[in-house]
Amino acid sequence: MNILTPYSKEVDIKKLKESGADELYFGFYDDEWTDRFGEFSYINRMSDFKSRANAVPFKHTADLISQIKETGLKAYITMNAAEYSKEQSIVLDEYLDHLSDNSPDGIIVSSLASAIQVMSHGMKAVASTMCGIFNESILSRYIDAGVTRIILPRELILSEIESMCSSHPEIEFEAFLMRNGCVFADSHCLGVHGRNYGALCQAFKNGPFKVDTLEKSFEERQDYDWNMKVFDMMPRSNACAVCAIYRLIKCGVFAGKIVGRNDVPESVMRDIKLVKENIDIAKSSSSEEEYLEKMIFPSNRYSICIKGLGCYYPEVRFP
Amino acid sequence: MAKKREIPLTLNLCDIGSQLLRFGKIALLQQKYEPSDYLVGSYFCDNYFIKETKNLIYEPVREGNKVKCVLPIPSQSNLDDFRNTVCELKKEYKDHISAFVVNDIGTLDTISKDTDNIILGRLFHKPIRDPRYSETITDKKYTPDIEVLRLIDKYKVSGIELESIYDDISCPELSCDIHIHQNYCYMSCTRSCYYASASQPTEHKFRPNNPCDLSCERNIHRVKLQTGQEVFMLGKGLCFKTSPNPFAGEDHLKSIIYTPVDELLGGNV
Repeated sequence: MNILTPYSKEVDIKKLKESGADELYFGFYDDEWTDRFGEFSYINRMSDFKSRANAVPFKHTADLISQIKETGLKAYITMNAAEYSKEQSIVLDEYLDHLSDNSPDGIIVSSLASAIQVMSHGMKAVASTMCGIFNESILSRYIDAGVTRIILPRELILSEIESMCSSHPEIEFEAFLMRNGCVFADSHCLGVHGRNYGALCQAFKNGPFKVDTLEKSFEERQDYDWNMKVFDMMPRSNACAVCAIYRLIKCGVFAGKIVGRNDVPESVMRDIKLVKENIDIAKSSSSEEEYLEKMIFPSNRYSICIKGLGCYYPEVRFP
Repeated sequence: MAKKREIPLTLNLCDIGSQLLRFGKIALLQQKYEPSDYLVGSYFCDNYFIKETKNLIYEPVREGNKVKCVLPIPSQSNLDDFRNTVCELKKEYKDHISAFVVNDIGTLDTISKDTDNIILGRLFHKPIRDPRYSETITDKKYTPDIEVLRLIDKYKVSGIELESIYDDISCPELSCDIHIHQNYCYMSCTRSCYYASASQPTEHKFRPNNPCDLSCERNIHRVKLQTGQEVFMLGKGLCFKTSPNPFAGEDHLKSIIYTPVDELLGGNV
């Protein structure tokens, strides 16, 4: 299983490779786009974090792609905003014209229309979580159109991943491995991510609340109140899937994704090393039980492993 | 002076209909709003759709009303049950279901094979909208997304649903009707039910496809955002209230969709 990690600016690409990364993904920013279409019209999912999460301005994407590929890694570029108008897609065509001269390994997109647009430029389209591929019926539409790489949404359970992978062994599937587990469905979460007020999920967690309820009994209210408490405790920013690595490899997942274009690079590199070590353990294990005995836990296990609250795939340890 | 065209009202029973039914409010809502038709099913939850739609559809249909059946995005695990439920609804209520409202391209492709009247549901409509940033929900002109345009062209859908965040919905390139969700705008949704988790042990909470006990019928969680607006968790959908605005470009407007959350929360019907 390849390790796909975010590239953010001023990170040493060689160090990412030495940590164990095989593939990098990054976004770009373009002030001309913002001037033309406005502050809330995005090029990619993290555009409102501007240069904090987008490695380079568009004019430097060619240089960055070259650097990544010279290091022996693959380069993927995100163009996965929730939606684009016809006028914006004309500008995307200009971007894609330029990018195709530099042969990135793929463009990460948010819809089938965008995928078709990317493929018309002779490049590989990667269907992101924004496509919301929650079942085989949706998956088939992408495959029929020629998409060969799919990022599986966070909201799939392992049995669903196994089902989709076994039905389509020809497809390169990516699954989430570390960091930034979303509370809401990425594909349909339309709040502003960055800026003054932070992510919607944080606002939902921390804001004053009221519950209109018909739960009458003390026990039922206790259940509801505990539910809220657990929701607040979930360490989603440190979501982790290392326990699932054996199963993900076994079912044919092509790449494991470490998320975090806006995160501290040293922290991301620690996660890359951890995942690499565990992939090696999984490959040398003859069973899932053996892997789970031998695997290395994250250093912050005492805050994220409790009751599976930080797990991408809690069903491994808590069936 | 030409009479202003009266735009039909559709009553949205999706995701909260069970609660309305339980309190006997649907008949009262019928009297108050005189809807031309109803939306039944779910936008956000396949479990709710599978469990409740056959109960919900009965009430408006019993009175001889037409309904539009709203199909959520099914999970992989529920795909077979979802398809069976759709088949059963089609068979039993074929004379009463005037359209199917779909929310993903898989369901769209499947249902288009034997259904004429299809509407692209609100989950296809994905501009950023966040009440904490007024620029995202005011002074806006509707411009269709390239995916929506592709689907309208490929599948010849009859209409699309939008949220009430525009001042101008005039759009000459659009070849179908527009239906606007007038009073509650969805801004996010979850696929791990907040409410269903309440009855689960701690280590099983907030998983996708948790068993459903329709806890969403008994609870509505609302949170005040930093800027003072409230968001409501209606089933698996996170919504905020919008004020109906007069807007330009009504020629394409086929219906206004009203979601009776206020009446559910104890307002008078």
